[in-house]
Amino acid sequence: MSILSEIKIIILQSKKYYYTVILGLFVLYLCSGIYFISQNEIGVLMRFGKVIDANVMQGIHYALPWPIDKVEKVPIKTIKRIIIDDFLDLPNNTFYKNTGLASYCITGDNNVINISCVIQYSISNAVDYILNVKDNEILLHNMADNIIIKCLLQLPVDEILTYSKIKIENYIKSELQNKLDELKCGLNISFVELKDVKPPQKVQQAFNNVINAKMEKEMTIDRAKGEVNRMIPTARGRANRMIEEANSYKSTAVLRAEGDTKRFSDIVSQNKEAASLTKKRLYLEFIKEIFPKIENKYIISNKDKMNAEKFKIFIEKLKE
Amino acid sequence: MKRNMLFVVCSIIIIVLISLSIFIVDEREFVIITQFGRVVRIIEKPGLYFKLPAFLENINRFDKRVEIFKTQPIQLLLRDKNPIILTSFVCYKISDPLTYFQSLTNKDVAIQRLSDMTISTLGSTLGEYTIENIINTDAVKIKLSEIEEKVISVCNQKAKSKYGIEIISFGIQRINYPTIVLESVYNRMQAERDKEAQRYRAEGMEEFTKIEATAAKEAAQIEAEAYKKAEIIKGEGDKKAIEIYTKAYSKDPKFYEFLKSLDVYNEILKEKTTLILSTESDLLKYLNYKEKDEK
Repeated sequence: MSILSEIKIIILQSKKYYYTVILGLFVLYLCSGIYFISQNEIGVLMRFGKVIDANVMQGIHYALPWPIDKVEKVPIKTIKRIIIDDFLDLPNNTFYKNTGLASYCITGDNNVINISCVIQYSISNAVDYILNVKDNEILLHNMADNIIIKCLLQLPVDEILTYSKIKIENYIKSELQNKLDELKCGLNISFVELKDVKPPQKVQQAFNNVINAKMEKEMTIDRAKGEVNRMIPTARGRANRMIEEANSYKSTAVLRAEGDTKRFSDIVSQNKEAASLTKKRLYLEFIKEIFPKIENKYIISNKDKMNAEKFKIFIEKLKE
Repeated sequence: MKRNMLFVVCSIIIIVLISLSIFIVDEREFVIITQFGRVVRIIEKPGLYFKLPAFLENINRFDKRVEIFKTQPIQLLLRDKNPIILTSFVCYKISDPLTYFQSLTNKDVAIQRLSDMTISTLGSTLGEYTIENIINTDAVKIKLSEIEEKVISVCNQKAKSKYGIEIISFGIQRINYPTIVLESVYNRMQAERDKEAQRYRAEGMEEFTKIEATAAKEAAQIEAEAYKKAEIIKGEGDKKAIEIYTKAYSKDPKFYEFLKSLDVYNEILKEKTTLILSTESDLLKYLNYKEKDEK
């Protein structure tokens, strides 16, 4: 009885405070319904578990306090990023650790390739995002894997490594978006980028060899072009020289002919008497020049028959 | 005062009782109310609900949303006996909470059952396809999506009625060759690349020879044309010279003959030449000089 009477005394004594405290607690309880939605979020307001406002914009809002209303804040404007590296042969790959299998993608021409890609996405529909799928990101990840392997299974390895990067990215983006929309995932893919696209470590050398060979081919062709640049001008130079030589031959021949004939013409153009003398002079000059050079000279007389006979014998002796 | 006390105690008890029998069902869940293990009610709509307080009635909550899980990689055989290792993922949701609740005790069991079911269905479905239906540069021949669709529809026939589960999506998440096959794939890739590298090098040499040959041909052409031109020019020179000679010499052909003969003698009469001259020759006529000759 003593405790109860004590409480009674306290209550009686503090009746005013008691009401004030209860009132204060009640006000606090009501105030707990005030909430903020920040700039990059959207609020989904639920009353007794049912969505009553799916589009609470940024600012200060009031909801009825727990347990009546509940607000889910969804970061709708935040761009998120996920890296799909399931097909990279990384040393700390969990798939390899669990199964002993290497990680790669198979290509349409039965090659294997390592690939990774970055996907940027955002939440496009807050209600779908929170209501339909439990782990949106895991779903996105698995779907992306599925679409990447499907895409690469129909392409030859050379195409993947060289010019179809954008084609693959677009394929992944549109297919992934379709799949996510089918499941009402509430996600929007904004960007897909292939990050690594490379042949497996074991055959990397062979692939590099092909690249080198390609470059060598270009270089060989360049060398051939250089050779052409050298050969043609050289030929042209030789051709020019030939023509120049011919020209000089021509002018020399003409000049010589002119020179040769000048003397002749000069002599011929004299009067007959003088020409005849010149002729004689030339003949004698010639004889004078040539005779001393000749060692064996024999002079015989036609009148002396005997002499002729003797000479014949002499000649025969000489021959012996 | 006693009445006042009674009021306070009573109201506290009432509040406690109410809080034990009121519950909220979220938009994202099903609730099954059981009474000592016996199903009493299934609630599929969100809102505020009442039940008998405390242990008299139990709340069992189930997620309405799509769940996702991955299966273990498993080696399967295709129709053409090609082995292939597949890893897949399954998205499912509870379509019939009562069946689900009665047949499966919890989520782990559900995943185990579904996993077994999809893998065995996948195995039997793959038996109808060859490797060409999976790996092919011709996109039309690839039937992977068709295989996935088949697995979904076959599994759903069982899963819906037996487990109250609907498979929303099923997809291959990874394809691997068995390790031995992978080795031969690497070898083949290596060989293919080597062949390609060789091809590039050969092409380079071919191109080189081709370009060089064309250039050589062009160069030869240039030189030949120049030769032709040069010969024509030389010919012209010769012609002109001959013309000049002819023109000059034709004025006195006998004198030309005389001069040319002297030239020829000069050439043919060398030191060792034996010259026999008659005293009758014009040159030596003066050796027999007589006064009368002058007349």
